[in-house]
Amino acid sequence: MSDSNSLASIKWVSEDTVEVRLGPPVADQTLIKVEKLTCWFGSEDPIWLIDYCYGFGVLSMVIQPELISIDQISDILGDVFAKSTCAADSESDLSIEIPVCYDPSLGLDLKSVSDLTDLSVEELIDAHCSRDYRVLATGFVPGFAYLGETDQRIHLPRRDVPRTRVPAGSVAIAENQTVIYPKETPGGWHVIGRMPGSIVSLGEQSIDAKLSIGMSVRFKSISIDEFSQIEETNAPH
Amino acid sequence: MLHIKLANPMHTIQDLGRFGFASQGVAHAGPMDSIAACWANHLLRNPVSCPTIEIGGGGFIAEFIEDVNFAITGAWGELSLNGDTLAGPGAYPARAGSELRVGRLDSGLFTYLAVDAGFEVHPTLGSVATCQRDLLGGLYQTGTSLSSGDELNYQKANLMAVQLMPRQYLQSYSTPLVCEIMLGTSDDFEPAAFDQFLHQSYKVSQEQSRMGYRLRGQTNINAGSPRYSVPITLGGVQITPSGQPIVLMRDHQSLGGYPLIGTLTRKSLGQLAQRKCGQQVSFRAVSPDEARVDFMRCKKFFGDFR
Repeated sequence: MSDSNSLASIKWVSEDTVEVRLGPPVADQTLIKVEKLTCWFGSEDPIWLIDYCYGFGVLSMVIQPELISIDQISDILGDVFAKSTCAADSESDLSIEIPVCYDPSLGLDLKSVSDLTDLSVEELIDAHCSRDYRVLATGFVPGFAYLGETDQRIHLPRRDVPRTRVPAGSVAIAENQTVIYPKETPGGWHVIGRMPGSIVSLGEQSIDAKLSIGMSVRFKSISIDEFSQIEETNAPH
Repeated sequence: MLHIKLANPMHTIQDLGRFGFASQGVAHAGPMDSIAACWANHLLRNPVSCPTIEIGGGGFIAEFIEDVNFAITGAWGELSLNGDTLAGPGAYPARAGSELRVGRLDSGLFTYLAVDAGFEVHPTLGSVATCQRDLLGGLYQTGTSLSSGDELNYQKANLMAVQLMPRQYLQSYSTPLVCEIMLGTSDDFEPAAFDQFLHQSYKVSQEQSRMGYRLRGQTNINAGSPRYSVPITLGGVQITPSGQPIVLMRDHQSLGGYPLIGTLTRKSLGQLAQRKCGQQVSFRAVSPDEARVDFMRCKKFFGDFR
């Protein structure tokens, strides 16, 4: 029998899409549910499920509505959450250090963020580098990961007008989080630096992303020269 | 083989989409008007998952190198085969050496071209759907659109008689559109915002892409401030901080932070996709249950539908 408290809410959002609120956006118990579900979807590959996506407390599933009802899904998810943790748990201990160059030529919004937060550029960089972050969600585009939570002193709303082009590798902040743009896209976050190299590679059958939900990430400040060196080393010949 | 002689960046190869990788941020992509795309395959009795060419904005010329039957649906205007005007959306035989032209469009934005058994294109992550944003799919698996000189393989086929699409299914994309919308919950909006949204008419702005269409209305909707990024649903209508809607199209990102006022039915989404800058759009609320029955009917009719 499923635990009726497991599903805070489940509802249709379109003809073939069901949304479930799993819990508070950045709480550990919510991330554990996501890990259990990811593991179960991976091993069972249920026929009624076409795709799924998770972000900040909300799970969205594209399903085959002719094969299953919303009540049946609710029961299944409740059972999955009631099970013990899955084998993937050990992987969530993985940690990674990512070099970031905070040169103003790459940190396009460094100056404006410094003004908005009343912090010097050095204090700002220090605030960004001096803690471990958890991967809270992945998605938006392949390789994009949301890391949190950032130092309260650098919490800012997103830019009023999103940039039409944020360069690949840009490291940016908004609200209580920080992100890396895997490739050039439009974006509304404040860009404060750039990482050298690439955070994701796409294969023909699969995607190899360096960051996954639950991982621990720390940023390390590097100079523009070090940035150029690493970029040259990684450049295709 | 189909030899492309003239193309633009809105001419892409599409199937029903790339599913199974949304959790890693991969867009579903797929046809902007999936009803029209499914009809193209359906008229040839292909599975609707077969690759089609989405011809955005006309301006397409191609030569059929071997005999084949093709179907062409969706946006319509000056369409011809070897200089003879095509009578309307339908399936047509093309002898080797025939030239298909999709010229200026009178109605709609996206025309769909299918051939017997589909174009033969190598899939990436399970789909041939072209996604320029993700650099996936298409003829070269890199998300590029079609260009002149490209050659798409297909199986030669015995020619059949012309078969026009049944009249009752034909669409006009020139008329003002009333979109069916499944309204969201009131977490992000005052109850009055829904009434305001449903009682005004909008115009399609020039900011239209495969990711989303921005609409412009007389008054701004007061939305809550941006919150955590949560999964985005195809057809979702987000209200930006400026108080104007964006409708999320096939290449939409997987997560987003703007408040969601509702989600369009898949049929209405395809109809909206066919509207050009300046055309009028308004919204009518439908229940998810009602919309789902319609959707499942459509899925049964075509064998699949997304």
